[in-house]
Amino acid sequence: MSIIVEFFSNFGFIFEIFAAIAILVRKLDRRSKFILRVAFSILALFLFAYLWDLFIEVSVVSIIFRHAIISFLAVGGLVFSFKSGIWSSIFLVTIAWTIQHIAYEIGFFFRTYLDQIAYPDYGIVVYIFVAVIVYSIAFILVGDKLSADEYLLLARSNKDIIVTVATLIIFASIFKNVFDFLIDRNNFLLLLAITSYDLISCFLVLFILAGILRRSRLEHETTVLEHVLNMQKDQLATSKKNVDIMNVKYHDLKYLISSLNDKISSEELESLNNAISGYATYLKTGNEALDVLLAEKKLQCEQLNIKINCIADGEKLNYIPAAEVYSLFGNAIDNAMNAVQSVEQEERRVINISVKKSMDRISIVFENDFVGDLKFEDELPLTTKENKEFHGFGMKSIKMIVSKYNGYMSIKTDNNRFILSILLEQK
Amino acid sequence: MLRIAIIEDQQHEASKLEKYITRYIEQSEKYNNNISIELFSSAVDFLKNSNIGYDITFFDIEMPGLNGMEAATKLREFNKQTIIIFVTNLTQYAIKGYQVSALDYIIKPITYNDIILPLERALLLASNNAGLQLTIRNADGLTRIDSRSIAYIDILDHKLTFHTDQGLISGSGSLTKLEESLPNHHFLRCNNCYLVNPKYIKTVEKNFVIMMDGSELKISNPRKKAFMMELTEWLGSGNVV
Repeated sequence: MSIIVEFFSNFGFIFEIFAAIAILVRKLDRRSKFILRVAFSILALFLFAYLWDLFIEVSVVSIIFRHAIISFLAVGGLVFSFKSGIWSSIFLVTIAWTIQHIAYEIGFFFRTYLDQIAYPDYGIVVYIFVAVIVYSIAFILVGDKLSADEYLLLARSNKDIIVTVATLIIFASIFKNVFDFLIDRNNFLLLLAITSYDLISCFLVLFILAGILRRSRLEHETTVLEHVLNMQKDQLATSKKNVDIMNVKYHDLKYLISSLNDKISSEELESLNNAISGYATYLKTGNEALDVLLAEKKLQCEQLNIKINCIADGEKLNYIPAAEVYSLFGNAIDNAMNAVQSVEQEERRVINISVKKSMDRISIVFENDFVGDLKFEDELPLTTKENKEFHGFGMKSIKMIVSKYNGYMSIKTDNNRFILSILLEQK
Repeated sequence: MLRIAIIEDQQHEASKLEKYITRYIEQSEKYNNNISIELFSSAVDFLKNSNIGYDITFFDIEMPGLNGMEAATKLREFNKQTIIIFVTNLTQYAIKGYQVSALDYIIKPITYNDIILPLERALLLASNNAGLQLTIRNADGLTRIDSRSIAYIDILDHKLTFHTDQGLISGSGSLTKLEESLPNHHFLRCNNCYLVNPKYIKTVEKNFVIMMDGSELKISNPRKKAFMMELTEWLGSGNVV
């Protein structure tokens, strides 16, 4: 029994830091021969600790160095086992260290307290109990929240903060170790004060990291949305050119057919007119971007047997930049097209669009059938497409434009009818 | 009983549309035999009869004399209730339907499949628009009132006041219970003491609902977002204001 206890008090730190790291790395990409690499890293850690304890005498300085070197080895182990850069690894080890330290502090405090009131045997049990609770909470709060990309992103753009935070936590824990070594453990109040101070540092570190994470997520989202908007701006220019050309061709053809008036029978004339009618795509809503988009989407929809029924006062949208009109309607129609494509009955493959003035505001509505279930997050439906990284942005982009104009949007899904309603302030 | 009017100058087109609507009604279980359809061969004829509140009106756009769009505009001057669906040869005409808050349109030549969705949407909206008869109990006895004629209801010290087309009616009870009894009739709550019928809202300014009769109802801060979203949704369901 005492051998086990001794083993754990010598090498416990390694186990704890290992557990804390394990919580955080579940979503990281592993390198090939992963198990071997992990085993090797752990072995290296133990070997180091064993040799250190064998040759180096225990002192304040030696404890500091022992911990610091173990952390560096842990960073090395991460880089060695996962496809994770040096900065992401430092970032991860910093969080792991903080989690470990919180558990250690609370556990140590209770252990010392139990020692004092003469229940020393329970000390280790309580210590393990506290550790399990702290690591479980950490697992629930952080474990599933971060994806590999985010670690990378975070680490890359916040190097200075990571250095600061890592330094802060290393110093906090080093000082604590020094104190534990130096102070009279019977001075319970002093211990309580130092422990609280230390815990506050740990939580501060975690708060800073959570703040960085939130900011970086927001930045990432804005970047993608702006990128999408820019792409659509280019697309608008191209589409406009194409639609214009088609419109000219359509009118040339129509003129040609009408000049055949007395040369062919009226049935033939009608069938010719019907044949080209599909290309009479240019509807005038009073908003050029909307006209171009409708022409483009109508052609796409024709091939998919989808009808677009649009009653729109486009003029009311003229105060919104063309690229944003194009983007908002483009995203909404794309979503609708995607949804009605799976509708079996052809007569139900219709997208209803309405733009009109209501109550001194502009009401924009998209309505269509859909099949299956929709899941919502933050009031927006989650994408049903495979590639979630990019596709969920359609709705988010709509929401961004809507809030830019102090608008509101609501999504109703009743009886397989999807209704996206938007209400914008009028300029 | 839902009433439908078809205004179409070409006899065969009118009877075709009537036939399709009848077929749809017969096939749906929801509306069986509770619907009447009347045909008018000119817009002028129809407007003479327009004191009849039709629930759904099909307007042909291309008609000699008064065309469908003009007729619908005239109708809207005094009737905001009826649901308008245009029937036309050209999409470009129908796209202007916002002028009269048209719900939908059908492009000629029409087929049975073409009318299914517009009709389904119109029937759903019409049945949602149907009023609910409320009985209000007060010192004067019992008053029966159609929920559609209520602009808004306020509460002060457990006393309810119904602001209606026919003036004020007082009652008692709780606003929340009343709200629950009107689930499908779209009364919106803008704060703890008002229940508003959006049909009577003129506009919303900052934190006030301005009603058609000029009264200004305060929107409470915590209710603002939910109220605006409900209003957005209400307008999105095709309601005419």
